[in-house]
Amino acid sequence: MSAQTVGDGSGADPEIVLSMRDVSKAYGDGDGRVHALRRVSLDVAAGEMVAVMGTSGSGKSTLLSIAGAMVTPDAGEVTVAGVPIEGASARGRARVRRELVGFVFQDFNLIPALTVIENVALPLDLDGASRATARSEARRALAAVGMRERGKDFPDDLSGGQRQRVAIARAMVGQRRLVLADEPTGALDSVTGDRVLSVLRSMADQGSAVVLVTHDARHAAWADRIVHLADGTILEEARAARPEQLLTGEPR
Amino acid sequence: MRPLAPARRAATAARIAWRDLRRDPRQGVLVALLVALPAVVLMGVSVVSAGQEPTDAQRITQQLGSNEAWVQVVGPAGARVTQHTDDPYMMQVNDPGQGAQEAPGNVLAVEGAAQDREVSGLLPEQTRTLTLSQADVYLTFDAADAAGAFDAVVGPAWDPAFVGMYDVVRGSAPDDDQVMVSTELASRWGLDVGDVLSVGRGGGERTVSGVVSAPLRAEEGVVFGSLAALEPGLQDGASATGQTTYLPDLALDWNAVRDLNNDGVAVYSRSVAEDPPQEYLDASRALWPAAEGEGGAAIVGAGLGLLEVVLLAGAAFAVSMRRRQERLALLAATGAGRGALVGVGIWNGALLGFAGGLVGVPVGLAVGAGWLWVLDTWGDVNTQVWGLQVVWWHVVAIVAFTTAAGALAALVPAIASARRDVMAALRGSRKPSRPRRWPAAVGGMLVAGAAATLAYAAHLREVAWESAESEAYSADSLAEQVTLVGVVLLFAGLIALTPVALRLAARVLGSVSLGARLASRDAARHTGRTVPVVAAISVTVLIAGNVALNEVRMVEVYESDEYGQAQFGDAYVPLYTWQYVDGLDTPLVGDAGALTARAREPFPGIEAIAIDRVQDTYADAETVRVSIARRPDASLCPAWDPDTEMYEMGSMTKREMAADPRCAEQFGSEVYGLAVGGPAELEYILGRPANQAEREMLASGGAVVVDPLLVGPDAAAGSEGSVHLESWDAGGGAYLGEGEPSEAVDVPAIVAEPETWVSTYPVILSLEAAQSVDAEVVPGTLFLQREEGFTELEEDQLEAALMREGEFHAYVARPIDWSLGVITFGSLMATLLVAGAAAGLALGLARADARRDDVTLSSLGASPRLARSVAAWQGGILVGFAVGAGLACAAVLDVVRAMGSASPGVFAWDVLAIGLVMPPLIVAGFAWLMTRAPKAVHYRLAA
Repeated sequence: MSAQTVGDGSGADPEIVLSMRDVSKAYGDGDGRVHALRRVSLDVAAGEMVAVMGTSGSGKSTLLSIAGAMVTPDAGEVTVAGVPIEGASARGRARVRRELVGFVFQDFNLIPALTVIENVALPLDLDGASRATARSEARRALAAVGMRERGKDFPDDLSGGQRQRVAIARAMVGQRRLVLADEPTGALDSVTGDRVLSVLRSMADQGSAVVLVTHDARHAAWADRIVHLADGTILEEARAARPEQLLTGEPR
Repeated sequence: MRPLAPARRAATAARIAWRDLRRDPRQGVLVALLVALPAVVLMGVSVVSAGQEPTDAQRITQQLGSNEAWVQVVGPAGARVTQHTDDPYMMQVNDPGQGAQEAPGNVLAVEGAAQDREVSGLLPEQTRTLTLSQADVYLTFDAADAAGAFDAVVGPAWDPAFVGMYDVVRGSAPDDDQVMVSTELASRWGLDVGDVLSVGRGGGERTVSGVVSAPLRAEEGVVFGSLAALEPGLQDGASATGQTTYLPDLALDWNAVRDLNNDGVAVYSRSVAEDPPQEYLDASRALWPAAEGEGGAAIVGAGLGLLEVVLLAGAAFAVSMRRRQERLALLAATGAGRGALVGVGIWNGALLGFAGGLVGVPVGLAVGAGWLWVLDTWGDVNTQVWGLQVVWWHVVAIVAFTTAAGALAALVPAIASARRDVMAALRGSRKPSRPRRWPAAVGGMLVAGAAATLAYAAHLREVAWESAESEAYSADSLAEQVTLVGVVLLFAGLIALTPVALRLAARVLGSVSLGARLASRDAARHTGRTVPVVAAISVTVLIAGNVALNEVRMVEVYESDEYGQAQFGDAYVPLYTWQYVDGLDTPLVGDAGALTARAREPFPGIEAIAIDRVQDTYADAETVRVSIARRPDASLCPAWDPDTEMYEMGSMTKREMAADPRCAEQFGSEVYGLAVGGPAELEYILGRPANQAEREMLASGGAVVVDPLLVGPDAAAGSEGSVHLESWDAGGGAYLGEGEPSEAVDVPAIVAEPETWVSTYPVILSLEAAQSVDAEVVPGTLFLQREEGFTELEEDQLEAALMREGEFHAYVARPIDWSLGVITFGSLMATLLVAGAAAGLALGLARADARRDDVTLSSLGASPRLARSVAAWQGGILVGFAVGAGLACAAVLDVVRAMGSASPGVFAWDVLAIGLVMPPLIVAGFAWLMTRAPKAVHYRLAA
């Protein structure tokens, strides 16, 4: 299979934040070996929001894990904001996650023992920022997602939508260059889900590169591009229709 | 309701629990292992203790060999003898004329005139008998230059009927010019078959014909031989005593035994021992009520073990049940009631407990067998191993114990699970339970109750202090019980307050570091697993801490008073001694110079100092003048009655007695042991250089005294005054204690405080002082010093060397070996083990709970150190709280109990501080080292 590269096709030359070249990843051995990704290439530029769609087992989560420097690829090259991931030490990859990448999970993955503001400030705490700086940044991020008043609460005191907004705030702090969102609306009702997606959209609009994994074409419409994965390869790439385009039936 | 519905529901719960475990056995491994641990310990203890006790058959063989019975005359005709079934030498003799006498372990204590009765007269004619006697025999082994006095078994050279009692392991039975030695004596002197021993001094040479294993006397050096072979070396009047008559052919049934027992004869009969009648068992049990105490200790030990297992396994269950919440919720959603859900949990626990028991029993059996082998191979002479024995009712009891422990451990988590919101559980909500206020309120009340109870106990101690002996005893006894109740309340209160304390700690530590914040918040939020762990550790710390504090107190008190008859490590040889010649004690006066020369033959570098003393006992017919020092009347305890020579109970309170040095360890006014010498002798006795005043006192004809009361009630170290000396001349009709002394003088004296005192000599007189009272000065003691000290063999070799100069014996002064240290060491090790295991469990459970958080942190770029930091803080916090609570209770217990002792001031702050700081640090360190940083696993795997 030939390598596949998907670009934005605009002809401009925006800064590429996530660059994946011929990335392959397999799990297991022998007959049980599963090829999660096969020579996938993908670029995501600053200010761009890319939706990754595909059926279960298509390789979406592996792609996100590799992009987020949590898993190393078996082959290929990956850079995040110019920092190569493949071959990096565990410490080096942790640093990439800490400084460049923000994650938003389907199940929020907030630390229940920490308050809302402590959860949001966590990446900065881990990065060694001063307490005052971390708190101030966290407050700003919480304000951006409309959760400023709930800083002292614990995650258990919040609704699902509120928790996800806190998770997004955590991904925002520290000017992350790359935000990876794995089905961030999966556990939310549609209204709350739209609110969360709008926050992610605004993060892209403010210059972050956002990768959104979703099953829902309506949610994918918030992205600039849609990448379809099947059996570990990219089947097609298309510009996303805006929600209003979906409503009006206007061609993409 | 249908009548069988509850049974069916229980069966359903059991079936679900069983299938649950079969489907996912890993979930129960931790609980099963936790429950298996005490099973291993209990089974190990069972095997080791059973292995050190002979079986009935072994006991019979040990007592009788292949004889049918033994008999001993232990009382006059008509005296009633009651013997213990396990130890026939433990007996009580009720002599109608004299009342009951106990003779535990040695019939010699009551033999007296009874021994004169002929055993043969009590038995049918023509009964074949074998008689063995006991004696002390003096032996010399020239090849090792060793000598010493040993127990002897005197009797027929050998008889097949003794096989099992004494087994010849090497060589053969002795003739009249031969002896056999026990394995212990052979080992001590390096003896083997064919070696030649000397019996007594010049009593003749005897060849060792055999080495004997004697299970009943395994710890002793024993020599075996006929009266003819051993007689020259017999120590006490050339006769053997303590006769035991063995009956190789005559079986005695219970009626015969009872008749003999009722006629002053102790009997051990094979047929009765094999099938003891109830009458015998009842009488035996009444002899040894102490066994009930041992049973009580076993119950307390098992109870504590149960408590710890239930707490720790309960914590594991709390996490396990949380992880299975969804499955339980499904059951609830399909109509299972709370009772059924609790039933599933309890069955789950019982099955795991049963499995733990099944695993623990064989492992404990192997561990116990291994320990027995270690004891048998390397154990000291006091440990005798009889072989591997499995007590089957112990096995059943242990499995029942573990099954009950598993069920109990599951009870609380199961109830908590059954109460959870079904929908929340089905959604997989991780919401921890909200802290409830009632434990804090109950904890506060318990602590308040404990304070009041302990205050009352302290008051009772005070009452006891202010009371005379008999009233003090009852107040002390009540105080003891109230103290224990108070400490139990305090412990329960502190455990109930642990969640509050953990929340406070979380607040304080929240700003220290991220690791501290995560760890302390986790501990505070998951009290279901943290509080049981804290309780399990702290109950162990309480016990070990109290043992340690108590021992420190005892050792400090005793060590401060521990003195030897020579400086520790030195040998001492009494120079004025007696030799038994022709039924009379004959004085034997040693020549210190000659004896020193003898001692230097095997030990050339030996240093010697000889100290003279005044004659102070009527040792023999030729001694007519004795001299003593006498405390002035003002120095006597006010409660001492010189007429009755007893303390008058009730005339002084405990406080007064304890506060008055005149009432400490002294009886009467006479003080014996007056050394005569100069500064060199003084310095040896005091264990330090003499100061100017002390030297001048001796030079001016005075005395130096160690006991200040000899000078006066208010005298102290350095005080000068006089000491009252008396001489009593029996030739002039003055016997000590009767009438007036022949001579009485007051000589100037100074009080000296010794560094390491030779306690034989509380007074050191100058020669002039001794002469002033006309005392008879005789050689006292020869002290022999060697830098490297003396081993037991060297002690025997020294003895052998001295014996060439006469009947002089060398003894080495050794400090008391504080065996309590073993208990303290053991309990501290057990504490560390429990603390480590419990903390490891808590950390493991916390990590299991926080697996998802770990991955979240990893995804956020947390450094690998964070996981270590969290684990270290978590271990430190839990063990710190547990140790704090346990030591607080132990310290309170120690302080309140010490209020009634003579040493309330001794409190081991250093032990307490080390105990408080070290375990949390050690556990935190281990947690740091053992924690692996979470891999950056695919985040969805963590969900």
